Amino acid sequence: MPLGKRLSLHNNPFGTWSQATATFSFHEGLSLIDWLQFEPLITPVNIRIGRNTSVRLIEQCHQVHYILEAGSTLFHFNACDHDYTLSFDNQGRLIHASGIALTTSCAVHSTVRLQAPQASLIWQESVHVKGNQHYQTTLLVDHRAPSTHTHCQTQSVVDDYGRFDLRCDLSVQTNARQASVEQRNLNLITGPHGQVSAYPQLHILNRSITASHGTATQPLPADALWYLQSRGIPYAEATQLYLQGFLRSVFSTEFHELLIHS
Amino acid sequence: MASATDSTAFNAGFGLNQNTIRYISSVKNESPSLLAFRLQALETFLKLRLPAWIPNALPPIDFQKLRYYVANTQRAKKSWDEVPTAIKTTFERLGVPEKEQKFLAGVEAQFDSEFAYAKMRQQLQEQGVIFTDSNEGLSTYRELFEPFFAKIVPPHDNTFAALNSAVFSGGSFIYVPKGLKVQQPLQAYFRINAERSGQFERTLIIVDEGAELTYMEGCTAPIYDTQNLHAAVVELVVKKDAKLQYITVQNWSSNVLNLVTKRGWAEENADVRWIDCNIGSKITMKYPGIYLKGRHAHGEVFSIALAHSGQWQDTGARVLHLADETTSNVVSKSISLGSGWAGYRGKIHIQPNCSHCKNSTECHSLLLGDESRTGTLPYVAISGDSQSVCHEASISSLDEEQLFYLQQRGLNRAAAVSLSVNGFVNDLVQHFPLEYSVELKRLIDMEVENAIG
Repeated sequence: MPLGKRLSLHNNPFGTWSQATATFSFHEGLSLIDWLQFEPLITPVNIRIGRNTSVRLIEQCHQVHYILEAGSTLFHFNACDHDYTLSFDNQGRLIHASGIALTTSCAVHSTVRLQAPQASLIWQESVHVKGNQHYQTTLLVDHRAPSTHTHCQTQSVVDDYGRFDLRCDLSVQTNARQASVEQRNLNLITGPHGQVSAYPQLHILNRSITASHGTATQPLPADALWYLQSRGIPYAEATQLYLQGFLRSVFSTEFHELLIHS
Repeated sequence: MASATDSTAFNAGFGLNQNTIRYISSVKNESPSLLAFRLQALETFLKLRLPAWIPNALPPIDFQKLRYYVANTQRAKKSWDEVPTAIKTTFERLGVPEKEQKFLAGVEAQFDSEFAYAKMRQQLQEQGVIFTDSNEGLSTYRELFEPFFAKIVPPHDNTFAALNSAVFSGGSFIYVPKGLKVQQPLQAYFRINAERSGQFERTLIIVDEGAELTYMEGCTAPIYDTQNLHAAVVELVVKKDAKLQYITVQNWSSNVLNLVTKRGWAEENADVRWIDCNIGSKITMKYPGIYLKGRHAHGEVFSIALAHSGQWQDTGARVLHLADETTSNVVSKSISLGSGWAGYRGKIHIQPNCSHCKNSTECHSLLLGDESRTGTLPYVAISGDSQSVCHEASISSLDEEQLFYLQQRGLNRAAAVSLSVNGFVNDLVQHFPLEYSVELKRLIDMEVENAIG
């Protein structure tokens, strides 16, 4: 279980809860450096992050809608292996990471709308799909304002009989001038019956942008494993070392302390 | 331009029903089994729905307001002197007889629903090459044609394959015998001349073991206010150790809906290459496909699409890896001018139980107009731990610094943009025969200069 202060939505020192709108609003101007973890909730909930507020949250809920106001920053980490739905109305800075070792099949659906100039999204997703599990992830990103930026990276390791499905839909609307979009997907299949399907899409309606995407699926690299074995590491251990490094490489430094404990 | 009227020798009239099918079949003097095939395909067409992913840009088609068979001739002539004057003049203006003399091994020229002209060099005929139309293929070369006819693209494949199967007319049948490497290209030229009509050619090319062939097709039509429909089917069979290169330069007029199904089978160690250039039409939806059925088979799709205002170029590739150690390569370049949409839609699928397959796909899009749009919509599905697949795409506009550099050297803006665009597609244009690459460059220059002004 990753680090994080466990909090209730009610009587929370960092914000206020509205039962009528099922919304928790962080106080404006907060700059939290500790990770916070809300109690797991099945019912939908909204979380508002006000102007110039910086928050670090570990997600455990099933359906959450985030509202990031201008100047806000959200570091968002998800390590739960159950179905969930996330949506973000983002006018600030969103850095999302999810690192999951599946114990059960799950489907994840995430939507991000970049609604103000300079709003940005960094999306880092890493999943290890064990045998017979099926992981389905859908990410829809819509650039609706100028100078918005998305960098999205998804990596998976798929064991024998596992299945990984990715759908990543990045749109840039006509008024989103100077937007930049980058999406990458890397997959390793470790068994003869592992399956990957990737459906990355770009819909571009404005010419003053730069956009790129890519997806690559490879077997375990023999050269890298041979290198580790030549240093005296047995094959099984070398494979595990390589896969761990591969899965963790997608995360930026803000999330490393969580990975140590996950 | 005057359209076909009641003066055409053969005219099925407007509308699509069983009587239309019977008329086509009787004009061609077909067997009862072929008529039955057509009628069954019509039933399939009437039942099928368009798939959900079809873009909104495809306007509704009123199939009852089109003509499905219009022809002045029933059999292709062997000499240009015998071709009716109006038809001959059209093809002379397009430069077809001139190219035939200079560098082609054979030419077929289709005008509306039938070939007006077909001729092949004597030497190739003596070597056993067959180059004729699909109806003659079905009647005279049945033992070669029938095993593959409607097997690679069956009628139930999609709506427009079903439509083509019901009303097909024209299109090439080519057979290259074992071991024969045809040095010069064979070409077909398609012209839709009648207003509110469709062209539904059906092409089948069989390249036997160890043989090689390059086939080219070009297409044009006059501009009308009403719709024309082009729903062709192309089927390729490339046998063991054989190679086939299929080149298309599509420059239909802006009222043509170009909805084509093209697919090839590659057997062991075979090589299939689609080189596809789409500049014309109102909307093109075309995804050349390759089924890699034999070990070490290789497939390539090179695609250039250019869309100016009012155009939608929805092109791409579809590759299925069905055997071990198969490889494929897809390169797509799209250019959007004005408010045009030019993009890539593709599928790469590696079947379970295949091993050591490789694919590389690259898509690059250039947006030149303030309202230009594009999309990249690949789908990649892989099974197994020995495959290597990668897909990459990039989208941008031209670099202003690069254009400034060229203008500083004395080029005006339109010429600078034109030069940059030709540079963008140059690595694909090099795969065309020289005469066509020059013409393609000229067409691209014209389109860009019209858009930039």
